[in-house]
Amino acid sequence: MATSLGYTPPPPPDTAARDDLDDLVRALHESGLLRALAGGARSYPVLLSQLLRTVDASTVRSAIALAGALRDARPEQAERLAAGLRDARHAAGEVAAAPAEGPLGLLRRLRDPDTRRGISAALAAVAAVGASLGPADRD
Amino acid sequence: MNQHHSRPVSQDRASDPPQQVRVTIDGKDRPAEDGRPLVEALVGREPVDDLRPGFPDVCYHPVLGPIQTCDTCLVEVDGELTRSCATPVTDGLSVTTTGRSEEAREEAAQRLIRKHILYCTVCDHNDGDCDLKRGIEASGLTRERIDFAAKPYDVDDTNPFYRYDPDQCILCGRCVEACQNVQVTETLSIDWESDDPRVLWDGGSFIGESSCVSCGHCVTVCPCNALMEKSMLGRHGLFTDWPDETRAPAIDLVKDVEPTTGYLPLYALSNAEATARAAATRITKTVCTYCGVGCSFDVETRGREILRVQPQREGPANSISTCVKGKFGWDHINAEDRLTVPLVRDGNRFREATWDEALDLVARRLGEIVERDGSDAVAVIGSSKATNEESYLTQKLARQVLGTHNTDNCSRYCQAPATEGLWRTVGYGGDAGSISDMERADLVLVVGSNTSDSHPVIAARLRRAQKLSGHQLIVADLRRHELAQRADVFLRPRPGTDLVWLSALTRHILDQGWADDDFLATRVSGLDDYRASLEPFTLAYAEERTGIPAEQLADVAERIVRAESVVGLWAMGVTQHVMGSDTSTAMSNLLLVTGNYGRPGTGAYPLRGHNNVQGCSDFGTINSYYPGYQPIGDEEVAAKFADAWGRELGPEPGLDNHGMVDAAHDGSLHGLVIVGEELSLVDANVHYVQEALERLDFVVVTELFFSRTCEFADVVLPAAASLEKDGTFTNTERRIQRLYAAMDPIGESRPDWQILRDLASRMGYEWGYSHPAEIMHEIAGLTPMFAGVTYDRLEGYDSLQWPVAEDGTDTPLLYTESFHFDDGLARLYPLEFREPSDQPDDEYPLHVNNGRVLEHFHEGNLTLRSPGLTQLVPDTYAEMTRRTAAEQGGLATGDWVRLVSRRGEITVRVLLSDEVADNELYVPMQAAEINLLTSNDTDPDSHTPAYKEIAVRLERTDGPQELRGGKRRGADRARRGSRDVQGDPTGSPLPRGHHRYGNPTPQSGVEVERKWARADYRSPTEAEPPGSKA
Repeated sequence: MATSLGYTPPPPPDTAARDDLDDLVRALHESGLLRALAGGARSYPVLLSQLLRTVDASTVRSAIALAGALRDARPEQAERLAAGLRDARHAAGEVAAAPAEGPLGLLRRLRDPDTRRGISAALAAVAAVGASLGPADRD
Repeated sequence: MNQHHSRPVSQDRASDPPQQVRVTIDGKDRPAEDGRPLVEALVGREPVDDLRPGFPDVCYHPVLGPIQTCDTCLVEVDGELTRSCATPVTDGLSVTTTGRSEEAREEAAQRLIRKHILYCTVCDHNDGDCDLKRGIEASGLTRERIDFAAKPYDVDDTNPFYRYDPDQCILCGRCVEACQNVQVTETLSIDWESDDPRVLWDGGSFIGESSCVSCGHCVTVCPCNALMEKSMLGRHGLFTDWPDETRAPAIDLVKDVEPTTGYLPLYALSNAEATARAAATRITKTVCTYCGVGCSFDVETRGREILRVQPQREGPANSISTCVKGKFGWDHINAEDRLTVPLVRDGNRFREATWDEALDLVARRLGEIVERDGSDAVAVIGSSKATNEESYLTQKLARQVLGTHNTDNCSRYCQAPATEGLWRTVGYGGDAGSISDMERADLVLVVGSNTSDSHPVIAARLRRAQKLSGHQLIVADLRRHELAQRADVFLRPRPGTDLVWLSALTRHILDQGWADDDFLATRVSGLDDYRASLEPFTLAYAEERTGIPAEQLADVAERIVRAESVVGLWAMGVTQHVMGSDTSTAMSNLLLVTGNYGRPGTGAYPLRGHNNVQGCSDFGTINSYYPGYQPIGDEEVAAKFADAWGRELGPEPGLDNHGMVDAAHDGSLHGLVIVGEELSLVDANVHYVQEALERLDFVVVTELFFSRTCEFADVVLPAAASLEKDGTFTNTERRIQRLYAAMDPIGESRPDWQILRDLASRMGYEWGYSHPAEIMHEIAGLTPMFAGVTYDRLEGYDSLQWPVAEDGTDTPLLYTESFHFDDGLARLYPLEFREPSDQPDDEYPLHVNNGRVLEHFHEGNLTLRSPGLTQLVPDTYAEMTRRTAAEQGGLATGDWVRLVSRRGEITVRVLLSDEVADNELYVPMQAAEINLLTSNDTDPDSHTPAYKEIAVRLERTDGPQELRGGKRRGADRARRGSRDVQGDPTGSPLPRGHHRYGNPTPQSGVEVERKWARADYRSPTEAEPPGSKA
């Protein structure tokens, strides 16, 4: 004989947590990676020259290589990009002493030392991403 | 109207196969499909170069047909510029896409992005398949020549599921076309004559206060991000969750860059982002878990997060169509109160247990009962929500492991009478054809079905056929619901009298000599006996008993016989009566007499209620048949299964659901396995059912949530939901479709097939399945009806409609050659009328009808966990006319009343409406309380309860009440629509923004001619005036 008996499940853990990739991407937003990709390193000569004064040339080459590689990224490359982004978060964290402020016009921001520090962090992250998109057998 | 409008939208195997012809494009010979829009051949071409994919076709959608609003597909034919979407392919057609047409396409694209900001990299619609972006790229546009001009309208955010951003809207009108001519709710339009045109709902209402039913068609076909699912916003892209204060400057920055760089690098960047996000997003084909239409679609997920449901043109039942539940109602998957671990009863509480402990306990207790009381002392109830493979294992557990035919499913509560009626007359217990046959029929007779709410996508097809092709729609129902309001003829019979008027129609047709004599002579038997049984059913008697005027019945009879093809659709308004089987039979009889079987656009279609209520019985979870309706009394069949399963079973039917409840009361049933069935709420007269459950020695329930039925369990096993498992469902048109796991089961929950397998193992039967495909393989080997069903043949959106021959040949349309009887002849079945049970009298003067609403499914276990759905319809109610309300003491909408039947009572709010008839109430069943009122009366032929036969009296319950509704308990309170968690609501039970209070704006479609008539519209070959908005 089974009399009616209630039960309330315990509250579950936060199932809405975003996956790792989203966390990584958010970190990269804060470091200004997208601005570097979209408006700067590839397309804006004044910005590029500013950047060249701010970071070393190999980092910028990595950024440009990344932009080129992304254009043709195949699914397997995209997966590697995700892994690269994961590395990028760590690289960005090491370089950036503080998170970037809210986005303004890049040129105006370049006059701000904090912004330059953020861009340095971003491009260090780009270097890590770019490395992930190199030949699969590269170290 | 164009040629595509008359074509069925659902898969149509009766249509002529496509004919390939040759066309010449820029001097090159290419194949194309005869009669189809030329643009389809053009978009299939190789990309011009790696940055210019294909050919632009921004406003064109194959299902919608050419709507000609965007001008991006202009080509040159015979020296004239023409829109290729509106140019049908003919053999030898010669087309030029270079030169001035190329310039025109680029100009057309410029005009699109002056209405739309391209910020693809941070746009949630940048999914790699954005039609606008692809079209802009393909047009060759590399620099913006016309500045974007914002529209003077705010974003409309008033619908719980999607939003409209006028500033991103390119005015292509796909949404309008879909709303007007596919869904045919006729809510959307474009105010082409406005200074600043935009998409309008009901001509200018907020979405949330319009007639919009949230079906999602508009969002699905939108080629950009103007209409988007809220579940996508800020979630789909890798860079789209920026707050507005970040996003806006970022977009401005890109706009600053674009004049220097052009769009090419930006295309590259956004394409890269789309590729990267695709790697992080999972797209899985699934089949809807709600009604029996069988909509299939892609579900996009990231982990357990459901980003959107995206129907595909390939979906055989639904194509691009969905309803609000299928498109948006998936919150139950991640509901906080999902069961994640097994529970066992331990004294006066449930405690969590390991799977080993729980399954060992179930195996031991069931084994003890069988040992002590025999195999027939236990029973297994299957689920119409479970897969076919799980249904097969449910009955296999009963028959092979436990040794009993005591197995059944919830078709006993709804569909069994329809099946009985078809078994009697035509042989197969399933729909005679396909949904496309409903679209093809010259005349559709709908009886006792609120199709718009219960089978919304089928209703959309019926509305479309009526609107675009002039097909007739005859609706018989107690309520003047949405489809009834659109009907060419609406019949309103008295409750429970459908058999009378259907039989009178048939007699009238025979008497007038209008029957299909050739069909009757060659394909039907039993005419004489049947005709004799019709003797009482004169039109005069029908008028007297049903209340339908005789002349109206005569008119309907004439319409039916004059129609080239007729389908009959029916649902619970027919079956859930004591005459359910006989009334279903009467419908089939009528179709036979008029020769409406075996041809495209004909046949009988009981609309199956659950996603797999058809399959659950098909695959053997029924007390009187082995899988595939192989009779248990057939010695050869029994020997086959005995050989396969190593266990001999008797030839007598087991207990059905109804019998199990009785057996629990009389003490002959001791143990019950319930696979995902809310038995304690959905069986009639729950007082009796719940008492039966308390009498059982042992109950085990597999469930997603701690349901009311779980309260009676000794062991509760957490089951996986549809998005968490592989398998197949069978829809109302006998279509078997695969669903694929989109995510892992939550917590420790498991698919039912694994639970059943592991339970069988503990009881000595090693089934050894590692995937449902292996189960289907076993089924195919034992079941002639499914002989050719394999997972390979069901890959992706492929499907099979049973019976399926061993070579894979399936059967979209039954009875083309013969009926499913030994002599191949259909059988007219004599009938007589019996009065309904529980009729109103002086003490209980009101009739209560009950059923679904669009936004909720049955007792609401799934849909009440959706905040959006419960926002649209938060509660149940008693719908009544103003006259009835006046006669009951002057009631108004929002007043609380108690409905008291001979069995029990419920307390609900009043909703005044003109959809119901005087003295008839309608109570939606999502509150799961209706069965406090229902009786033990059943249809004697199917044992289906007479849910629709309830007489009540009404009492006002103004003032403080200890209990208003609130029969839900425990974890069930997590259901947001439960009144337990909403206190004591007041006011109308239906928000004033509900779609039924909207004011649709029917029109022929997007009406592009009105755009062309604008003073500021110019062909893309000409310069448009400054500030043009066209």
